[in-house]
Amino acid sequence: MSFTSAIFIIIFFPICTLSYFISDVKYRNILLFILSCFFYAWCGLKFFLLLLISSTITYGLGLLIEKNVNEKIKKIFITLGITYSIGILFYYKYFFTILGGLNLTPFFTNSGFLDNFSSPALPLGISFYVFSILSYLLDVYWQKCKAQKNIIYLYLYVLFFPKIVQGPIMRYGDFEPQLFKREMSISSIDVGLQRFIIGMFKKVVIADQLSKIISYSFDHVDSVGTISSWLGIVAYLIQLYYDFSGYTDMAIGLGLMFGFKLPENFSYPYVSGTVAEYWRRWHISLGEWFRDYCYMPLYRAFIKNKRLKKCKNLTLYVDLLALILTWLLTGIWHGSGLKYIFYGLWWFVFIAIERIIEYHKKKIRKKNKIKNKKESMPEIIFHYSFTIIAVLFGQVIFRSADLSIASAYVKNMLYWNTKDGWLFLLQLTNSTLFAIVVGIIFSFPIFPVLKQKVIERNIITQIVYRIILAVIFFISFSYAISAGYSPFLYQVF
Amino acid sequence: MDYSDQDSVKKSNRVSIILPSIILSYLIILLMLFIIRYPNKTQLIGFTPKAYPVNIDLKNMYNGTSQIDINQWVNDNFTGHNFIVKCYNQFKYTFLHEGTNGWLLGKEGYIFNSERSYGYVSGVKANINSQDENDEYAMKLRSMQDKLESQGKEFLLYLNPIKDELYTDKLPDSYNFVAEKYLTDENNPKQKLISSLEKFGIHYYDTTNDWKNLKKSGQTVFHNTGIHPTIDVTTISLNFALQSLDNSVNPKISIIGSKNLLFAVDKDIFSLQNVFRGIEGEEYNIPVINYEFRSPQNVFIFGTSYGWELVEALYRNEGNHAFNQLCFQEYFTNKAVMDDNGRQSYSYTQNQPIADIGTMEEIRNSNLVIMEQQYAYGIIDTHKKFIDYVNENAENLYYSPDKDIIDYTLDSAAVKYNNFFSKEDWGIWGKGLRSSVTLYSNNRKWNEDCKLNISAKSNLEDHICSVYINNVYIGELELNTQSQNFILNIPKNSLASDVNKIEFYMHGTLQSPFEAGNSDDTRSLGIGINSLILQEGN
Repeated sequence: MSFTSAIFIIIFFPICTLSYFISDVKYRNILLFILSCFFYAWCGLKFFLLLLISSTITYGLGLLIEKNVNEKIKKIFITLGITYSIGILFYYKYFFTILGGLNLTPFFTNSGFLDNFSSPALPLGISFYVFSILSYLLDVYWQKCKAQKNIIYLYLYVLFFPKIVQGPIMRYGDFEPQLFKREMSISSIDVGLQRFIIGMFKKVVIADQLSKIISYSFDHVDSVGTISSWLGIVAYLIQLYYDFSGYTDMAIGLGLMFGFKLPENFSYPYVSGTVAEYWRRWHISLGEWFRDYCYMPLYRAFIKNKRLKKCKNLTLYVDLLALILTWLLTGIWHGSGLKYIFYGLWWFVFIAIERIIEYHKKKIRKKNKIKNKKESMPEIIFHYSFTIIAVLFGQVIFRSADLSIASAYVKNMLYWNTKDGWLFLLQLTNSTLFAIVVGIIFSFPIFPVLKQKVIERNIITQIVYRIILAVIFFISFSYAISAGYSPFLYQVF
Repeated sequence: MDYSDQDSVKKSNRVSIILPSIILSYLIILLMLFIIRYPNKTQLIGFTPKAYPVNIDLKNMYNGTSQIDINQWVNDNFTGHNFIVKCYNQFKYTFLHEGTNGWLLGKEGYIFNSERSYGYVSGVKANINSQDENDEYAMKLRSMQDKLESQGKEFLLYLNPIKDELYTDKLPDSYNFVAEKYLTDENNPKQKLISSLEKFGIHYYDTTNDWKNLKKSGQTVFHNTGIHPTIDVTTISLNFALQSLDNSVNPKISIIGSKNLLFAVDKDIFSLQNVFRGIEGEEYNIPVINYEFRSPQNVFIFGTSYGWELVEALYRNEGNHAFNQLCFQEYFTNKAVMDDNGRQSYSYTQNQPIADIGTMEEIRNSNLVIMEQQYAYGIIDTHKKFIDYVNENAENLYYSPDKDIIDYTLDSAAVKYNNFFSKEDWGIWGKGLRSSVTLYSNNRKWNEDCKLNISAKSNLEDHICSVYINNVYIGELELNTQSQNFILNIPKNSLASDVNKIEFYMHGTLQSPFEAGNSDDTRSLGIGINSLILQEGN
């Protein structure tokens, strides 16, 4: 069920809200669990069963890990948990792509082994809930949190409907306290609704309006020119950001309405001065997940490695080694295929360059006992340009169907040509132009300033703001209904 | 106690209540209305909501397909859906100056069809057809033209410009700009097509200059909201077109008055955008057309919806036609409609009710065949199919003089089976007591008496069937359940030069195989024909 669908907005959401508020406080968690079950089962009972089974296994393993004092047995259980979680993700997301890539599919189908198997449909949000499950098991293993004894609460953690489809990936330690104590007031509902409406606007009025021009550029790479290519990628950057952050806003808004504070997932990534900063502002919960469950453990393991200890610049090498593996996995998380491996490595290269430069700069400063000084303008320009290049071309890879198309697209961008002449002008409808202009403007942190200085100035401005939001809701709703079903971009993960 | 703090908290709560109250009240009202199935009062043109019931069963719920259906059903049918869609359209129209539902908003209240305009200004559609493809098209057209002319018919290819060509200045600036860049002579779809038509000697008429001149003189060529030309300009240019033909006896058409009505096909274009308040269509007066001279000839038109203007110009009022009989067959972009037999979706003639009639039947009845197209689209698939179909069947329109064997298995336009069931592997059953077979020939001279060789059977034993040709009795068949061969003599004087009708009259009553206890077939079967051969001479 999409947040922008009629069935969610007209049926599920009002029923959810009403039943939640009229129910007794002690039954609210169970009610949320039931509603979340219904929400997820709406994508198909078979996927719901898979999720339920996975959560049950996680519950059992969590208790077993915590209960057992023996480190070896603990390791066995955690290994089982990781294997199972990665296993289901691997099966649904990667297995058939690999089979196809190795030309093994005929072998399996002819032998009857996979008679009843075809490439299965991807369960909704599997990449997100598998990571939630993994983070829970690892946190229990590392004793960062206690295993949950009430299975319903664990189910709720995994299934919680605002975040199940596209995140944000929430740590169990942050979720659990809110099960027992959460702020619920008219104010939190108001704030939640504001966020939800803004998210919806971002998705349907901005992101969705750019599909035509993006498809014009990316799906006809052989016949579009340089201007079209640049227009296409700029539009795509806006669309990707507004679609995903729009969803996150809706998720956070819904969470707030039920008293849950979900973590932020975006923080104006396009103002980043470095690639590393970009990934601290873009899909924050994913970056933090990989940092805490991938990079840090790898770093710690490598730094203790006897062979590596002999290396000069040990910390840099260990850092880069941990980084490359982390980014490889990040790329693979986004999808199966060479393109995604390349995508992950792309970011690694840029971050590695930054790390190497920074490492050597620190070394020089330390050697010469120079204080850390403010960056000069040329340095700032260099860093921003570096980041923009990384982001622009990185997302070309992400959007293109495969690496050859990405390569052709980049060629179109860099080598001036007018293959499609002025035809791109016909793609620039008023809706598209509006989306691009508004998209660019509000990619910068203008709205928080506006809110502070204008909206919250006095009661009148606050009232006017809310009335405007109500109108925006109606407009966004009309866009969502009239445009038909348009799935969120990251839903495929 | 700090009362200013308390006061600001109270104010803050009051402000906080505004948004949830508005939104939640609205949604709850919608939910209530949906539960009681309050119907949508607002109408949406061209919208078909998903029907109920949707396919709900455990298997589909398991896979998620039921849920998709339900999502769609809810989306289309919730109370207020139509009103909300209209609000969306109106918002786009008013604030973003964008047409909806495939309509492009131009300047000064002009509306265009988005797809047509894009195709036209970008030359995309025209450039799909290379000069070679245009040549091949013209070659086939020439073949069709020759075949029709060899059978005494005239052929005319009637070419029209689309609205965008005559009202380019009314298109949005971006379209204008692109048109200036793209519509060079090389990319001009008309140039490519015309050069091929000239090369292959096709009889064509291009109305572009006529319409441009009429526009210059102040005539409305296209309505502001319409995509079809006005009947005035169609009538005028049609007169010129008919005069360009060599042999036809051309009716003269003139406009003697007018009626106050916006042309039906175009008047609701602004409402097709499904907005509350849109562009008003121009007031247009439907001309009253006078036919100063009525031709005894019949005409067949195959064309686009522009062909309707021709129909209107030729056939406005009952009993007042330019030609004796008119058939119009409209193209459809859905290829499935134009099947292998070239059956059209409808035709329209003077004497017959609207029904599905074979294309070749109508061409056979016509003296003039007009194929109408708008050249901006280059070669349209349905026109290609039409040409191929006519080329394939034109030779069988009539039995050629040297053909003395006429076999029923020929699926030909020259043979028409009346009151028979569908053909089966072994043959064909008649429906009921009377059936007939009509043979068409074109001024054939019958030099000798003929023989009718017929292999036939009945559903019953000893069933008599009388046979007539052109109401002349020629013999009887004693039919049994096993097929038998019969030979009947036909005097040459009873044969007509153009149409010969062989009629079969079954005596007594009929019985279905089911009634006879032979099978489950409940059809009332008449004569069963295996083969039917008409042979001239002994």
